[in-house]
Amino acid sequence: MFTKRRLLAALMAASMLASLTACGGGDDGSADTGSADASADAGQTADAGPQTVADLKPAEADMTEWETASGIWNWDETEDELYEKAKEEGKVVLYSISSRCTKIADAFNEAYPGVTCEPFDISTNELLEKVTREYDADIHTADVVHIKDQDGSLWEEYVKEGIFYCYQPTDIMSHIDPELYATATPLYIELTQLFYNTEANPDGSPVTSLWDLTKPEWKGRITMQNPIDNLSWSSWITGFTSEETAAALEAEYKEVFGEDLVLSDGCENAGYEFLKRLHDNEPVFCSSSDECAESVGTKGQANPPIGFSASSKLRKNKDNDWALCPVNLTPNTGIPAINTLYIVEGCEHPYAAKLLTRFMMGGTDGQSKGYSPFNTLGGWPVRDDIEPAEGSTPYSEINVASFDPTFIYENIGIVTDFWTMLGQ
Amino acid sequence: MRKVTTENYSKSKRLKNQIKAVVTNPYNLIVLVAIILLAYLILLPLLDMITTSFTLSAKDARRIHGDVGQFTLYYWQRLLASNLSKSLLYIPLRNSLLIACCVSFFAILLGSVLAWLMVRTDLPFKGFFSTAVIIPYMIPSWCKSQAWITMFKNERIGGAMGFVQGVTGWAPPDWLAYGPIAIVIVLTLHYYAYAYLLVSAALNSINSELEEMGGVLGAGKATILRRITFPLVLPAMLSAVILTFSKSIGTFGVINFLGSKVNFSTLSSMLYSNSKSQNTQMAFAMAIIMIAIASITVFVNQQLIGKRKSYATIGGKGGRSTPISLGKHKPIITGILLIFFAVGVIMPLVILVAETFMLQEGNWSLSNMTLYYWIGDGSKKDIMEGLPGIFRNPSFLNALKNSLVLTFTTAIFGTIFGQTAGYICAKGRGKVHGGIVEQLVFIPYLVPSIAFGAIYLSMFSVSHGPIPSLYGTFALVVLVSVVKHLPFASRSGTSNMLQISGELEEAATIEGAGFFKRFISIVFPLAKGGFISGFMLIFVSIMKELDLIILIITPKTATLPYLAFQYQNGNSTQASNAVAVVMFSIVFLVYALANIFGDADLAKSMGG
Repeated sequence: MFTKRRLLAALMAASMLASLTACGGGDDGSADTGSADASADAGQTADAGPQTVADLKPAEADMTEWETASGIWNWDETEDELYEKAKEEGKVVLYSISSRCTKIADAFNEAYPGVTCEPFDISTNELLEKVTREYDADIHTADVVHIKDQDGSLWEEYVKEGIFYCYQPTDIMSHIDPELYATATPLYIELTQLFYNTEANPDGSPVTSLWDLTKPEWKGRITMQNPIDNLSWSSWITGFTSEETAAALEAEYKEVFGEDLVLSDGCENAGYEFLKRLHDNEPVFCSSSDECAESVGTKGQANPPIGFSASSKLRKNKDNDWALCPVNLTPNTGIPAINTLYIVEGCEHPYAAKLLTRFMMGGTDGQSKGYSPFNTLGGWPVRDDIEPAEGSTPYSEINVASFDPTFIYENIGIVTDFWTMLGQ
Repeated sequence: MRKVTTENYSKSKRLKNQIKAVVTNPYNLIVLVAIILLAYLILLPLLDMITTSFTLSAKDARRIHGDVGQFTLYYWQRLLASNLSKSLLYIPLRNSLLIACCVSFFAILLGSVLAWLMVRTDLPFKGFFSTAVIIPYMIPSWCKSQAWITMFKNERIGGAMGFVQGVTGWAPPDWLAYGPIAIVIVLTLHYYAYAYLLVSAALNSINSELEEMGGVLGAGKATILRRITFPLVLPAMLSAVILTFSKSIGTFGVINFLGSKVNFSTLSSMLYSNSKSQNTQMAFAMAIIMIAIASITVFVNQQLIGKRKSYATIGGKGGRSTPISLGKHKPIITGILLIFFAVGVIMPLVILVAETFMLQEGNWSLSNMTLYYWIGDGSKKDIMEGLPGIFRNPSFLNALKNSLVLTFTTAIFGTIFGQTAGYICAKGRGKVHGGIVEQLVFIPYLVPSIAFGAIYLSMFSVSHGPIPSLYGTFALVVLVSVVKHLPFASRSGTSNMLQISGELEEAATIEGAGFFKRFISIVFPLAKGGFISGFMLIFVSIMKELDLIILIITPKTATLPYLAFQYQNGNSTQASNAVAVVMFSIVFLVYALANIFGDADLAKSMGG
């Protein structure tokens, strides 16, 4: 009896194995997860290739059928011209990482009768998975995508590969710093900021420098999210290891401790050293940015922690009666998280998509209702003709590192592995 | 000589008859169709995961200077034998096994004791208790972990003071507030329901004459329990171990919530992190390891209880059950149970409901209470960014409609397929095809929901031969939900079918009834209760489902969990909780209706 059963088990295992190898060899990634085929040569072209969106524009004769039909490279159409053509298309589908997209859609539908905007609120990971899978299967549901290029992969794997297009209307771009629209069409800027509790610290922030966070008195008193848990946090820690920030951190160290920084084994520069010492100080990992903000901001605490959280949490201060206040850290508070807009290649409503992009960016004069829902505390407009929300610290006064998508793209794996190793 | 000819004749005739029986028997046809369907719907996604874990992604191609899409051992090498393995695999795996073992032990202990008290003793308020005992299965586990943190949190994570510290002034230590002990307790309170359901079903089927016979022969209560009752329910308990064990291996919500504060991770939370960080290949490799672990436990389960026939309780003869008197311990046990339900079951529910009435989160003063999140008109621009309360929000009504349609359709189809698969598992116990089907249907449970949805999106977005492109159709949402929930549906089907003694069908065969006639006039009427129970089981879990269908739904087919997620995303926990309360109410209502009108009992659907 037993031998028979064992034989059966072996047979089952063997047949499963056989079907496994058969499919493994024959299946050519048709059901693959990533954008494997589309970005086949990403590894080779990135270094010498295009540096900005404008570099990607093909000559008139080389344009694909869709590029010509959609006029995706025509950045000079007016809103009225776009609206006329958009009415023929009738609708536009927006995939967005912000719950505010429903309000945008309502405002759009009111402003442009005859064109219906269908919003879909979905988180980053699912959005990319969905849009990529649909694209690979030739399904063109999404027209406009609102997301953040946290790790440079949207630029490297989507824009450069022609899956996403950056529509950059000339008149609107003239109000934006060219550095911000080099690799994406920016919508607004968010930050990962350090917050403290004003009720417990009436005299101002108890810390001012990033290196203060490595001091023993803050051991176990800093809340943040675990960088290995999601992409935005792993991109953020990667930012500290850039040449620019690492040099600034090294100088800052001398400022704070009065001596030269000595790098530990395995730390390539001051950025890695900072991450190591931050990790050694045992930060408490929250499961969401909200939780981090709540842990710091709740009133009535005798000894509240300090904590990193998305800058947008500042707008919950009033709703929740919190005492959150951001710290303008030296040398800087890390890289920004820039919300960006893309139009999907081959989409069915390109003119409506262009119109929606303009609408969300504030329109010709920056006054459209498509931008106002985003103009809140903790989010900064990219246009110089839009005033930030009341009570905001001007963006120019905040110490922010510059965002180099290629650097992050190339180093995020290394830095995340470094952080993972620290946990052992 | 004559004898030999007869033998030859009968041998060849027997063979001929056997072949004829195999070919013409609709049962075999159903088995064949089922195996082909399951292979297509379950093995294909699994193979997709396996190949993906050997395929280089664009992100990593740059790092290791390879070509995108090429065959690679990078991910497996990284996971199994690199300087990261300890952090990525071995420590989390050890933690996973630790949690799973502890949770299985305590959940089975708790569930079995409750089942015994409820089924075999003269405990008072049984009606109330037997309803309360099911509730944990209906509340999402994150509600419980949130309640735990509200009770026990200390200064470590800041925020408002925990309830215990607020009342007693004593700050609970970290080891109690967060980490493995907290996780084991919360998960035990979540999963004991499975053990309870399984064991009470088994206890129900025991003829109490066996116990009384022990008593007549002079055995004490303890001896009867140890020597008679326990061996009889042992198979059910083992089955509960499998279910609880694989459930605790697969869960990540509670672990992420309670473990992250002390940097405690398990394989499932690692998988979740990797998936969130778009390391799909690593996440799939981890999922495959989890599937392997679960397959081993299912295989062991088959070996241990594979051939047992004693489950057949719907047979020709009747049984009776006499409750055991608890005697002087009755008030004490009743008291303990009341406290247990008040703290472990009712309190998380009350906290959840109460939170929907708070204008400001976490402010328990009476002036802060409001119905705004339920019926607000959207006039308070600061709250929910000017959205009206859920009952005035058209998207809520739309989502409610979609959820109801989805849950009912899925539950109906899921029940039919599940019971059919269960029929095959039950009739094919100990045979090859039964084993194959039982292993196959268990796989979807451990494929991460989000991955399952993604693979289905790719598989069905273009037409393959006779199968049309299902993208954007409601059918695809139903299909993916049905397949993902087959493990439950078929488990309930298996136990349901096992209860029907084979002798009934055999008798009908002798009378000349064909397969379909037997199925319709014998199996179905007897299994009706089980059908409804199986329906409930799928209904409950599909109501809560989000990850699985988020990639497949479109704005117009959004469901209640999607709305809850959206509210959470938009910083309004209260509205999100209000949606959760609505979901719970629907589930509870349907359960109550099924109980009253349909002779359904969740307990009946789990034994097996």
